[in-house]
Amino acid sequence: MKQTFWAKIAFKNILENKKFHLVNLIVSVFTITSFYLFAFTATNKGLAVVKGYDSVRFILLVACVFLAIISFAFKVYTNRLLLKRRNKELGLYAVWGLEPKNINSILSFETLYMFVVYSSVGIALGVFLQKYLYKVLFRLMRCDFKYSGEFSATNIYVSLIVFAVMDIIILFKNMISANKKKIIALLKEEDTVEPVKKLHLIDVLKGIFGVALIIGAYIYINRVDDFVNSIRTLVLAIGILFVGSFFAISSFVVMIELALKKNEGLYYKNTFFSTLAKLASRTRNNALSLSVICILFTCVIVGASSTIALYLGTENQASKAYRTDGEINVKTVEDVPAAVDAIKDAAKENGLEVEGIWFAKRYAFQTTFDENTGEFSNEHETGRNLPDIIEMMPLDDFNENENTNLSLNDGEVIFISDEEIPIENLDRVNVYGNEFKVAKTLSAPIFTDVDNIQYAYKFHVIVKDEATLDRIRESLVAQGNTREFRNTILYNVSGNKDEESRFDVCLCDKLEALGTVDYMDSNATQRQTRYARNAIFLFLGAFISIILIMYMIFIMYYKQIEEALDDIESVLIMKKIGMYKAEIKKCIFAENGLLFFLPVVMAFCHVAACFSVMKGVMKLFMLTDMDFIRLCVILFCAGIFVAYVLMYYGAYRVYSGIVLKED
Amino acid sequence: MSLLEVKNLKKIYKTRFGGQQVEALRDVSFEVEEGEFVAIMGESGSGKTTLLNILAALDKATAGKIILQGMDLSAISEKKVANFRRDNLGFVFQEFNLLDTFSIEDNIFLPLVLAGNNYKSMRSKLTPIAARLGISELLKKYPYEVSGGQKQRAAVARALITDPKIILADEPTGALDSKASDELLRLFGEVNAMGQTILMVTHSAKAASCASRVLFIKDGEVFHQIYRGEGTNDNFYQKITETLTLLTKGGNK
Repeated sequence: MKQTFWAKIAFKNILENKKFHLVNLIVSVFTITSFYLFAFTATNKGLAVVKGYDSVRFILLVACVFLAIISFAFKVYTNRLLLKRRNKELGLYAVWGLEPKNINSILSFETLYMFVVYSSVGIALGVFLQKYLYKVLFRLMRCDFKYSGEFSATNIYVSLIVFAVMDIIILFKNMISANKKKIIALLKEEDTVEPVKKLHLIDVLKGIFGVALIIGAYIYINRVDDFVNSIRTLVLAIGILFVGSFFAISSFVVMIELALKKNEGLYYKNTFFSTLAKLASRTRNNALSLSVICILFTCVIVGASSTIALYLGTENQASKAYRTDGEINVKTVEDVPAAVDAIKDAAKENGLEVEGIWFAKRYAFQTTFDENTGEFSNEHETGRNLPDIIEMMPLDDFNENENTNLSLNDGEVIFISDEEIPIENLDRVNVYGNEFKVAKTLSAPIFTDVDNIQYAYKFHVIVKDEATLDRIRESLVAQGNTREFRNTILYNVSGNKDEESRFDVCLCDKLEALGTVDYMDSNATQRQTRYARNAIFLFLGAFISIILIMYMIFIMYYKQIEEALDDIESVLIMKKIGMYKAEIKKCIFAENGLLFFLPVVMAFCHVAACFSVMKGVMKLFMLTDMDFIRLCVILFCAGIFVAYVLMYYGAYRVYSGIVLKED
Repeated sequence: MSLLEVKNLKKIYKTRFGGQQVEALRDVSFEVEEGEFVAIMGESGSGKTTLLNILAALDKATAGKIILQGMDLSAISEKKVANFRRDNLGFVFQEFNLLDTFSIEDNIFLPLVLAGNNYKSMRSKLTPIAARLGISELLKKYPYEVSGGQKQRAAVARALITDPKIILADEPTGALDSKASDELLRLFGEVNAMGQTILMVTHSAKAASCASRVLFIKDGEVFHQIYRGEGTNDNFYQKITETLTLLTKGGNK
């Protein structure tokens, strides 16, 4: 038979099942639009003006890969739901005498139609939105808008290829699945749902195992202290939570429901009767979808509220980057005056006052510290997740910058340790063979400690004078450590944020012209870099959250339609027996409500248990105001809960509309 | 006074946009006395199921009246119809209409739970009925675990448990084998003998021969009715088949 015939059948199939395909189409359109926009934003030359362009570009490219992976995972899952519904139809094709190649043709055309529609609409939408989105993004980044408006064919091709490959893989999977099954299995597969009569021991064990996994995941995730290298741990914890949630829902929750059923006084009450009778089987049959929704919800809350907190807290983070307005490191002490002049000139040109300039000679490098013996060397095993860093400086520089008036004798040092490592009883330190008496111990942080990512444990050794520092360096050079001194200039200027930003740009230009600067950073630079990065995080967080929510709605909507269609007969029986429409609606409301809100309640528990991890990650980005983070999470939870309630009401209307045949 | 009076019942179905009209019931009138077992027969499309649906208050008549023990069904508000149905009517359907997610016991309890009965009183009502219908051992099983005949007995138990004024049965033997059909009709006979009024729609002459009276519907009207009188089931069966032959040949009233 001609392919056009199968093409027509496939077209008709999609039209007749439009209520199933439409939501899938909408989600697919938004997903490919997002993917295209991520790729476009990452590759658009206009982004190059943004401070921290390389990291922003890298984040966007990683987001593209992440989006492709989650899209594929969800496409596989949603396809499974759609295909399950079609088993009978595929069985009937076989009964009518269609050969596997004919069924494959129908499936191929269906995939092709869907791909053509969603990819063309999605890409067109992306191309239409790209400029406006860029504008919003630049406003969020607080940068001057610069848009390189060329038509990016490469991004379109990449988007089309990525999604076409996904669809082809799923198509092959469907073909194999449809052709492998026996006709009778396909015809009967829809009728295999059985009520949960009683729980077997294995179910009880599974339920307990599920709860144990969830608790285990909570403990595991709360033991993370190295947030820089914790991605693998987080992914693993999410995986454990998912498996745990699945077992808990499919067995443990069903256990509770069955226990309620045994309570005759409660069970044989009008509202509970019909609800509880169905709930156990519905919960078990939907356990996988409910677990997916639970994890999606958890990811949306954690991801979106973190990125919102991060963006809204940018000002707070930037203001804590340096204690002073900025820091310049020059190559030698001789280069200091020129750099100081540059600060003064830049301030003058921008009509600002220089409020203070300080200098410190620092000698810092990676080491290992034994807190029991007080020895610094390269030999110890610290057992800590992060490396140790030692920083030494003369007492005069310390006193000047910290505004103290401490004194030291020969052979004495002041020792300042990272706050997590106790050193109160330490009376001696040994720096690579140079033995010192600890005259005083102090608590971090000091002026050189940037309230930034905790990438290391820092130890400060304040020596009596510059000569002592030189001697230590000589001994270390003899041991092969050629690390140079850092000549740090710290400065403060008057002015508001905008004035400081202008001053910062001017100073950068001047220092660049000098050619003697190793490194320069400031709160103004930090503000711009952080706004750029946090805006990208917000942008990605928002898009990915919307996609996850769309998948969530898709799963919910699909399940509602599927179950409502299966429930029509039961409801008709109930009406015949004498149940009021209002009573039926009440039962549907209660039953669907329990199913809808079960994953949400679990997700809120997951979020609460993971809050310390969120705090840790936020700390990495210098957002240390825990009350602010908590507020963002709570407000977001409240907002999304309201949205979810509305979603639930919509789903309830769809469900009751189908079973009661209402419009 | 009759238990059920049906007067000049008329039902016209309209297509969605009112373009075409189908007259399912033209002018149906009959009465059912308390304790009577009445069968309604007729060809497919004669209006039997429409009549039963209207009697069950599942559908509204276009015109006419239905009076059950002095109460006019058409005067009952939409809200009270469900109450009326659960208090006064018992149903037995061809496809049993048991809910898969309920055990047999819970299926039988359903109308009582809806009426707000407590567990103890429900149990005391169920025990004798289950024993009489021979389903005491099946109560904890689920519909998918029992045979068609057993399901239909459970459906009868559900219909009886509210002690209804009338049982409406729609092709109750339609999905049963001959042995299960005979068993069900025997049960109907027993229940009727104890004073239960039954109104049964059926295609089967054999099933109708268990009734005390048979109404024949043709083209939306009561075409004819015959009484069992003192005769046996076989004699009555003979009379029914003769009437059916007349009906299919297009005889007059």
